[in-house]
Amino acid sequence: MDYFSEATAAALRLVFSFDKEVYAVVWASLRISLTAVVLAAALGVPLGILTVLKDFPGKQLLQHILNTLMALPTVVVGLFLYGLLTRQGPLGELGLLYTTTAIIIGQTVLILPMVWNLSIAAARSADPRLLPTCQALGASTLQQGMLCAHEVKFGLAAGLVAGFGRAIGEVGIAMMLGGNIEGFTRTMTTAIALETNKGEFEFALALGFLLLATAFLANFMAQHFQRAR
Amino acid sequence: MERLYDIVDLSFSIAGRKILELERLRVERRQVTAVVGPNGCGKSTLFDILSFLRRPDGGRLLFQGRDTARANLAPLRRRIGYVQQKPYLMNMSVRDNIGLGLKFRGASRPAMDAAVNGAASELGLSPLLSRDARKLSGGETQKVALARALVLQPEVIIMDEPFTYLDENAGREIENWFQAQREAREKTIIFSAHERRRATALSDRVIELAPPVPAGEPAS
Repeated sequence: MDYFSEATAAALRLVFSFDKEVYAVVWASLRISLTAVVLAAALGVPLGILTVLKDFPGKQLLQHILNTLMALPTVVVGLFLYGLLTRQGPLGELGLLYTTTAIIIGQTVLILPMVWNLSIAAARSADPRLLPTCQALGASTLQQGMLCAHEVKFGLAAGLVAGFGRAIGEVGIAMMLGGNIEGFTRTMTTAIALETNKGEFEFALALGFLLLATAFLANFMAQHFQRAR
Repeated sequence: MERLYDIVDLSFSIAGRKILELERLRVERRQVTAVVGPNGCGKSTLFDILSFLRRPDGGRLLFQGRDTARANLAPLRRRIGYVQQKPYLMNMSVRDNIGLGLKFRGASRPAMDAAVNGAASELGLSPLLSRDARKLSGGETQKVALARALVLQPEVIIMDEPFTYLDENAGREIENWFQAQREAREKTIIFSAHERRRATALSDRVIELAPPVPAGEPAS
């Protein structure tokens, strides 16, 4: 118990003294995951709204696939992208493996189905009179989509926050595609795993607290957006 | 009189259940036409079809003599101003709601402001322009939806049960607007009403819509 309480006290000291090393890892994680969320939003939100606005063959199947991909294991995404990005892989010449770009791509792939699916749910939650009203006013499909996004913006934001929560907490992709290079591709989750193995429990615990705080904040924001709907 | 709509043997079903059945309907240009009928007779569906938001699944709908069965409905929609029974206002100001259709058409800001101010003044909405549209009363909502349709200067105004959610004052204001439009003879107006007295008083012609006959039963 002494070991744990001493380690906890040391970890809190690291957190509240704004230890440079700890916060460098935090900022790297935030930068990577927020970029992935922006990319997933740029793709997933329009796709989600378009899925609701348009009728097309295979719509039901797409919904099933997205539901399945929401529970995609991070190591599977990491493994698949590793195969593409490794030197022998089809995209090996780009030299992206063990870079932050590779982690961003991996996290984007991981959360895209979630953002897409939650955008569908948000667009479906819009008032049923919205689209006929837009059509009666002569809106094009793009204008209908923009207005739909405006009307369900809190639902969309909740989906993005949920995506961020999944990205920031994953370890498989960051480890396999980033390689956990200090000061470069080290994220909170990979650093926690490594530092614990090295016996630097206080450092890992400090990052654990900050990861927990980030997850709590993301969850708090998601609930706020849900309430604001 | 120039004929605007010509309907022959129109029908519409949802999941195999007939919602609307109409043997014949003609609507003349610049006339005010009222549609009356009991609940469930298909008035709202008919208005959705006349506004080109839905295609009928049987019969013919001619607009200015042209069959609309294979027509692109988007340009036709732009010629109609449709005010639904329970109008939906966007989560924005009254001004932005009224100007929305003009924005969709790419109107400039000054042109939009002038049109919005004009329609708001005509319907007594000027003091409400900066208000949140979601916080309006039923009567105010109805008037904002009418103003939103009017700024687009459509040839036809279609209003589904415009008096249902109005109090006495708001109802009288809309009645006055109908009378003014009827005298001006500039627009074709089609509306539905529960009260036959009101329908007769405000229109040139009243059309009675009967509920569709369920399959297997003889028509009365």
